[in-house]
Amino acid sequence: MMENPKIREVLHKISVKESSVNNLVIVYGKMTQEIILSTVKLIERKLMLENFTRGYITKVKMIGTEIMQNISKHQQYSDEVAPYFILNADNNGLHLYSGNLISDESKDYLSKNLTQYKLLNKAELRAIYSETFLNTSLTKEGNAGLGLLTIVYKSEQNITHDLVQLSNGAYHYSLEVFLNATLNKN
Amino acid sequence: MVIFKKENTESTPAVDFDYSSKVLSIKGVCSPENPIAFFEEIFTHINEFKQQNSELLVEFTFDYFNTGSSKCILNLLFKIKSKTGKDFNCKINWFVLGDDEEMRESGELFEELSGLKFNYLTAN
Repeated sequence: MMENPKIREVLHKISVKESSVNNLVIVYGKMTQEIILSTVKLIERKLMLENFTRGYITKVKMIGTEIMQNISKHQQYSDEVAPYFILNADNNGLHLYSGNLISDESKDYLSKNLTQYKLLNKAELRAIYSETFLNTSLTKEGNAGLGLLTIVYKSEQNITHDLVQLSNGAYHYSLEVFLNATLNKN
Repeated sequence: MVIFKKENTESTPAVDFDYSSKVLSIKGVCSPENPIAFFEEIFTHINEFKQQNSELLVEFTFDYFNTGSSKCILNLLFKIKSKTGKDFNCKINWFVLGDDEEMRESGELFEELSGLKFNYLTAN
């Protein structure tokens, strides 16, 4: 297995940030349903200790679950490069970092949709979210984009992503979601 | 008398559907890998129940859910709302654990999209 080329960059970024105080959770390697459920429990315990409000914790759990279940669905593309999920806290809120390999088809889909969603105003995003929620057909393989849209919507578009082609031709997708916590501490 | 019960697991909620008391209760974490498989049985029972009854109380108390499950919850609400040829009255109680604003907002979205009236209650 190759080392994930982004993991060092992300770890460096979160370790040198001036306001960085806490790396709460780091998951590196194959993502299974058991690991996801345990990670969500761990996130809940850590955020309760940090005194975050219940609503904020629920939001982090739901977005974290979505990110990790998406990674899990793309596991077949991650045989060579391990995926990662990191929850990092600073004085303003929480950062959820993730990275994994994806297919060429997924790369085009993510690139097009993430760019489009970031350009929408709040009302437009709400309208698309509601419409997709109503009209998406669920399959055993996935939820036709509702997961990605949920992450964008619940994070209030505080997301950045990167798509890099690796030497083996595959694409590495990294995502950072920021959840402002200014008003979300007890 | 039909009672449909499922114990909660790490990724699925407890389900208690008692036909005699006309109450369907779903409570806990709802984050299965295959939400369709989990909700299928509930859909079957809802269809069966609606053939023989004219009222139902549904109580939701979620810790959190994944988006696949949220779509299934919406489909469940549409099944409850769908016309069966006779009058069917349904009451929805959406329980929120403490001051969980995120779960309250989720309930409001389900209420808006389904067109059903929700009562918001606090669970401890």
